[in-house]
Amino acid sequence: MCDPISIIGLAFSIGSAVANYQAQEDMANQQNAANDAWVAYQRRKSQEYQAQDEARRKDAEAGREGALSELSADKQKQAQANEQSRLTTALTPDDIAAMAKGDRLAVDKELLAGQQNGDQGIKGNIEAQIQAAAQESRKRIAALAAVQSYGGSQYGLTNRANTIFNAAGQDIRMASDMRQGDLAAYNVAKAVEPIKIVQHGGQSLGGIAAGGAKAAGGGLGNAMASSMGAFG
Amino acid sequence: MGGKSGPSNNQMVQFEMQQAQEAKDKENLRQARLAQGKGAIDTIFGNANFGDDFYNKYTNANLDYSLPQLDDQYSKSKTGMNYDLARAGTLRSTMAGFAQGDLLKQKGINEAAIRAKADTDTAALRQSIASQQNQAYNQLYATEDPTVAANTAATSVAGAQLSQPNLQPLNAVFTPVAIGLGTALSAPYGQYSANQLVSKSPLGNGNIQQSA
Repeated sequence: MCDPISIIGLAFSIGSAVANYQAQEDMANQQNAANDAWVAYQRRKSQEYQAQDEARRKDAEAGREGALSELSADKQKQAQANEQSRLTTALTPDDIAAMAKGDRLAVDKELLAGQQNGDQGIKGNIEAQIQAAAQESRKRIAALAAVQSYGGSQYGLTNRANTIFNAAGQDIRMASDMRQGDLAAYNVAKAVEPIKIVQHGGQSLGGIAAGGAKAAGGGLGNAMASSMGAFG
Repeated sequence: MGGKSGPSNNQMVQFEMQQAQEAKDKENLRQARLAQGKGAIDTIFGNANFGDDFYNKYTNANLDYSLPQLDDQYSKSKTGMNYDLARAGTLRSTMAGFAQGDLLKQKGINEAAIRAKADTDTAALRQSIASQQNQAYNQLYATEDPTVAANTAATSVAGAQLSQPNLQPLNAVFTPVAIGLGTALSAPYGQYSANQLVSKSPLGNGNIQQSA
C-alpha cells in the first residue's frame, strides 16, 4: 500500500508537470506570435526601404540620363553650331559686317580724303578692295568663333558640358545622400530583434514538481520496503 | 512545444532567405543597369559620334584662323622682297633665288608649327571629350552606388577644361633678307667720295649733288 504522502506527492508532481507544460506551451505561442510580428515588421520595413531606395535611385537616374541625353553627339554638335553662330555675330564689328555685305555707305566711310570725289573707276576699285578685306576679315572672325565655340566661350562645348554634369551631379548627390540616410534608418530597423518570451516561475514549478516526485518516490520506496519485509 | 515553435522559426529563416534572394536579384539588376549604362555611354562618346569628322572640323577651324595670318604675312613679305629685288636690280639674280628660297623655307617651317599647334589643340579637345565620358561613367556609378556620389559631385566641378588654343594674332614671323644694301648705299657713298675729291681739288670748293 502507498502511504498518503506518496500519493499526494505523486499527484502534486503530475499537477505541477501539467502546469509547467501549459506554461511552456503558452510561452511558445507567445514567442511564435512575437516572431510572426517581427517577421511582419521586418518585411514591411524592407519593402518600405526598397521602395524608397528605388524611388530615389530613379531620381538620380533621371538626372544622370537627362545629362547624358544633353551630351549626345547630335546635341553637342548642335550646341557648338549655335555657339559658333552666336560668337560670329558677337565678335564681328558692325561696320565690318555691313561692309562685308556690300553696304556702300559703310564702305565709303573708309575711303580716304579725296577718294570720295575721284574717278569712279578708281573709287569702285578701292571700294571693291575694302569690301573684299571686310569679307576676309569676317571669314577669319568666323573661324575664330568656331574655335572658341568648342572651348571656353560662354556656351562653348566644354563649359556647357561642365554645367550639365554639375547639375546632374548635384541631383545624384542629393538622391544618394537621402539613400544613405534611408539605409541608415533601415539598418536600425533591421537591428530590432524579436521579443524573447521568458517563462517566469517556470523553475519553481519544476522544483515543486521535482520535490513532489521526490516525496512520492520516497514514500513508494518505504512502502515497497515494508511489503518486502512482510513477505520476508 | 518544439513542434509549435518550428514553423515560426522556419518563417524567420524563410524571410531571411527571401531577403538574400531579393538582394541577389537587386544586385543582378544593378549590374545589368551598369552594363547597359556603360554601353550607352560608350555609344554616345564612341567614334561613330565623336569621330575624326568632329575633330577635323575643329582642326580646320583652328587652321582657318591661323593660316591666313601666315599667308597674309608671307604675301606681304614676298611683295616687299619683289620690290626690293627690283629696286636693287637683282630681280633676276642668284641673290633673288636665295631670298625666295629663304622666304619659302620660313613659310614652310612656320606653317608646320601652326599645324602642329592645331594638332595639339585637337588632342586637347579629344581629352576634353574623353573627360566628359569619364564624368558620365562616374555619374553612372554614383547613381548605382550612393557612397561614391559625394566624391563624384565634388570632382565634377573641376570638370573637363579644354586648353584654349593660342588665339593671339600671329607675330611677324618672316625675317626678310637684306636686299640691295650695297646698291642702296652706293649712291650716297659715291657722292661722299666725290665731294671728298672736290674739296681736295686745287680748283677750289664745290659740292657735287646727286642727280635725282
